[in-house]
Amino acid sequence: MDLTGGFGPRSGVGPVTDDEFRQLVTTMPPENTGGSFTALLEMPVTQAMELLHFADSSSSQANITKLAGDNIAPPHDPFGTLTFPSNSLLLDRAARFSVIATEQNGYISSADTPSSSANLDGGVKAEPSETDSFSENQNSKHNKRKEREKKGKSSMKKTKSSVEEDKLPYVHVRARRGQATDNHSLAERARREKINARMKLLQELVPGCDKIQGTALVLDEIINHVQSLQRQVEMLSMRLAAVNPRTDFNLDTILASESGSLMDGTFNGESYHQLQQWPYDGYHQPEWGREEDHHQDFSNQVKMEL
Amino acid sequence: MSTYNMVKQEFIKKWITTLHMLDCSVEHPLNVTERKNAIKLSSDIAMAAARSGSTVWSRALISRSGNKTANKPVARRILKKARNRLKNRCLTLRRNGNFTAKSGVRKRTELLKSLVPGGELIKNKDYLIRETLDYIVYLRAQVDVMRTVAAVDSVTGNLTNDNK
Repeated sequence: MDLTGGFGPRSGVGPVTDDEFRQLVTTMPPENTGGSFTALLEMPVTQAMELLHFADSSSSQANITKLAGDNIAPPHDPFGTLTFPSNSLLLDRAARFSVIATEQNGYISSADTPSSSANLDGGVKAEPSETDSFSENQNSKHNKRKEREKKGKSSMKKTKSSVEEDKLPYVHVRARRGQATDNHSLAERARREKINARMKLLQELVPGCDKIQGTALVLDEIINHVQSLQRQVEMLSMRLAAVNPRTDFNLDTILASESGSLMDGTFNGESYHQLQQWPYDGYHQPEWGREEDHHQDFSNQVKMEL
Repeated sequence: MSTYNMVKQEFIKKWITTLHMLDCSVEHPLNVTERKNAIKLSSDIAMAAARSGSTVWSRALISRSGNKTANKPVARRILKKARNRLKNRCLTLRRNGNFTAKSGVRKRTELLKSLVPGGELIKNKDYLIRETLDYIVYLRAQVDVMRTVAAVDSVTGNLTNDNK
C-alpha cells in the first residue's frame, strides 16, 4: 500500500490551498485499495477536507507572526511561535490524536493526522532551518540521515512478529487480484494494513520521513527522532540548570513567557484568566497589559524583582 | 481548538508544582549536575503526570522516576496519585544501542522498545507504534516549553547584565 506517491514534494511553507488538497485527495484512491484505506481512517474524505479548512485559517494566522532564522527573538516578539509556528498545527493534530485516544478508551482515531500530511512538508521542513546554533547537532544528524537514506537498501519486508488478538474495530479489507481470500490471510492482511497505517501516521509526525520506502528505514527515522528529542531534553535541562542559581527558577518568568508563547499571536481571553487563577498568583503583580506590550512590561517586572 | 497548547499548559502546571516540591525538599547550594538532574527529573515527572492515563510510557516513566526520588519524600506525593493505578512492572529498563537481531525491522523495533519507556512490555507492534506516537507528542511539548524558558532566561540574563 503505497501512499507516498500521492504526497509529492512541496516547496514553500504557505498554507495548503484547497486545490492542492483536492488534488492530493483525488490521487489517493486510484493508487491503492482506497476503500480499505478510508475504512481504516473511519472517516469520509469530506471530513478530512473540513479539518484542513480549519488548518488553513489558523495556519495563515500563525504565518503572520513567523520569522525565519532567529530562535532568540527580540523582546517584543512572542517566543514560542517563532520557532515552530506551523509545527504547532501538526502537533495539534497529533495531540488531538492522543487526547481522542484517551476518550475512546485507547482506540485511536487515525482520522486527524493524515489530513495534516499536506501541511507537513512545508511546516516541518522549516524546522531544521529554524533551530539555533545550540541544536545544530540535530541539523547535522538530519543531513547524515538523508545520506543514509540514499545509500540505504529499501527493504519491503513485513516481518510477522508475534501476533496477538486484533482488538481494533472491524475493518473491511478488499482482496486484490490473485491474493488468497481465506480467513487467515484476510486477518493477516488486515493487521498488516493497520500497522502500515500507523506507520504512515508516525511518518507524518516525524519530520522528513514520508519519502522513505520500507518499514525498517521509517523505524530508523522514528528512533532517531525520539533519541534526538531525549537528548534535547538533557541539554535543555543542563542549560536551565546552568543559568539559574536555584532549581526553583522564577515562576514569574515561566508564567509570563508561557502565556505569551501559548497565545500564538492571538489574544485568548479565557486561557489568560486561567493562568491568572493559578495558586501562585500571590507571587506576581498582574500588571499585564495587552499582549503586544507584554514583553516590555515583563522585562520591567523582572528588573524590579532582581 | 488548540489541543497542543493545552498539552503544553498542562505540562507547565505540573512542572511548576514538581519544581517547587523538589526545591523545598533539597538543601542549597547544589552543583550544576545535581541541578540538571533535578530539573530533568521534575520535568519527566511532570510530563508523565500530564499524560497520566492509559499510556504505558507514562506509567513506566513514573515508576522509573519514583526510584530516583527515594530521598525526596515530598516529590513522591505527586507520584502517588498516578501510581495508584500502576502495576509496578517496569523497574529494570535497559538502554542498549547494540543489537544483533536478525532482520532489520526486528532489530529496529527492539531499539525502539528500549527507547520508549515501558516499550519492552508491549508485545503487539501496533500498540508499540501508538505508544511511540503519543510519547513523541509529549516529548515535543517538553522540549518546546524548556526551550522557551531557556530563551527567556537568556534574554533576562542579558537585561540584568546591561543594568549593571
